Amino acid sequence: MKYKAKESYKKLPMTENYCHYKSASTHLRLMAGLWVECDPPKELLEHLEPEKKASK
Amino acid sequence: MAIAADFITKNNVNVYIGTEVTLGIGCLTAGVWHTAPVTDYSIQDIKAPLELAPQRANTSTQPESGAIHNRTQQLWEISLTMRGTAAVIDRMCLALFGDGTSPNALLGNMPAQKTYVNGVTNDIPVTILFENAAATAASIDQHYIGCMCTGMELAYAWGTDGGEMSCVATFVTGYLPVEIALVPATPTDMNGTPFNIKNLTATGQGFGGADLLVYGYSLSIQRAVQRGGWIDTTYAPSGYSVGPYEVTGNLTCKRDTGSDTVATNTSTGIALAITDGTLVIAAPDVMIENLTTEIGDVDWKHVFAYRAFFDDAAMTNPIVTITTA
Repeated sequence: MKYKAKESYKKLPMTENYCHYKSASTHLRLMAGLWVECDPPKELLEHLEPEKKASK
Repeated sequence: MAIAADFITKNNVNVYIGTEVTLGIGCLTAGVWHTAPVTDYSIQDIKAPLELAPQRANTSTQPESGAIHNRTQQLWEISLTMRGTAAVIDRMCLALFGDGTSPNALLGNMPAQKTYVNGVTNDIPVTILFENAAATAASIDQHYIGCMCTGMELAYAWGTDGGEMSCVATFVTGYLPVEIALVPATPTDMNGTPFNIKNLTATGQGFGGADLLVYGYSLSIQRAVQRGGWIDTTYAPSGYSVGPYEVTGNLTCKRDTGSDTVATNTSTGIALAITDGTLVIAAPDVMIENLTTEIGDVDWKHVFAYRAFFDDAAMTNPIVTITTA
C-alpha cells in the first residue's frame, strides 16, 4: 500500500521517523512529498496518509 | 620485569557489531548485537599523529619539546571482511546509508542525516567488539565505540574464494579503543549462505540491456567521515560529519558482440543490472570510467570500470539499489 507523509511526520525527530525503522530511503521519499509503497510500523500510521483505492 | 606470558590468536577472536543508542556510549551487554561472519579483519591500537615544530637555526637535531601527539586528529580505522550474506549486506547498508531492510536504496539526496553529535541519541553509529582480542589478557576483549561506516565493497568472481561474495566494510572512530571484558548477551548471527557468482541468471547481467557473460563483479560505496572538535581529555570527538558518497565498481565479462555494444563514451547514463533472482543490484544511471581488454590465449575479457549517478530528474532517484531477499 502507498502512503504519503502528513505534516506531523515531517516534524518527527530522527529517533522516531522512518530512519529509525531502517529505511532512510523511505523517509526521504516521504519528506519529498511522494506516495511511497511501504509497510509502516504502527507507531507511524497516525503520521501517514494511506492512498485511497478507487471505487468501482 | 619479565616478558608477559599471554598471546592472542586469530582463531579465538569473535567479532560483533553492536547498535549504539547514543553516540559515544558503547553498546551494552544487553544491547542489539550482530555476530559478524568475518574471514579477515584489521584493527588499530592507541596512537595519534606525531607533529613536529619547525627546525631551529643552529641545530641539526630534533628536541623533544618540538614534538606533539596531535590527539585532536586521532581516528582509528577498523576493517572487516565478511562473507556476503543477506544479513551482512543489509546491516552494512544500514550503517553506511541508513537503509537496512531490503531493498536497500542509496538515493541522490542521502544521507538523511549529515552530522552526528556526541551524546545525542542515534542508532547509526556502532560498537565493534573483538572478543578475546585485548592485548592485556586480563582485559579480555577489545572494543571500539562510536564507529562510523566509511565504505563497503561487495565483490565476487569465478576462481576467487569459490565464487563466494565478500563484503569488506571499513569503519572509523575518534573514540579511544578500550580493552575490557564485554560479552553480548543475545547476539544475532549474520550467518547464512553467501551469494555466489555461480548463481547469476543466464541472462540479465550487464549494462544498458546488453547481456554479458560475467566473470567477476564488484560494487563499492564509499563516503568520507570527518571528526569535529573534541570534548574531554581523551580527545573524543564532538561529533562526525559524513559524506559525500561515491559509487563505483568493476565488471569483468567475455569480450564479445554484447560487450562491444556497451556505451563507453556518450556521457549518457546506462542501466547496470546484476541478478541471481534473489540478490539484485540495480544502478539505473552509470557511466563507464574505463574499459580495458584482458588478453588471454582464449576467452578475451572486457573489464568495465563504472561510476553510478542519480538521475537529476529528482533528488530522490536512486543511485543504486541492493535487493537481498
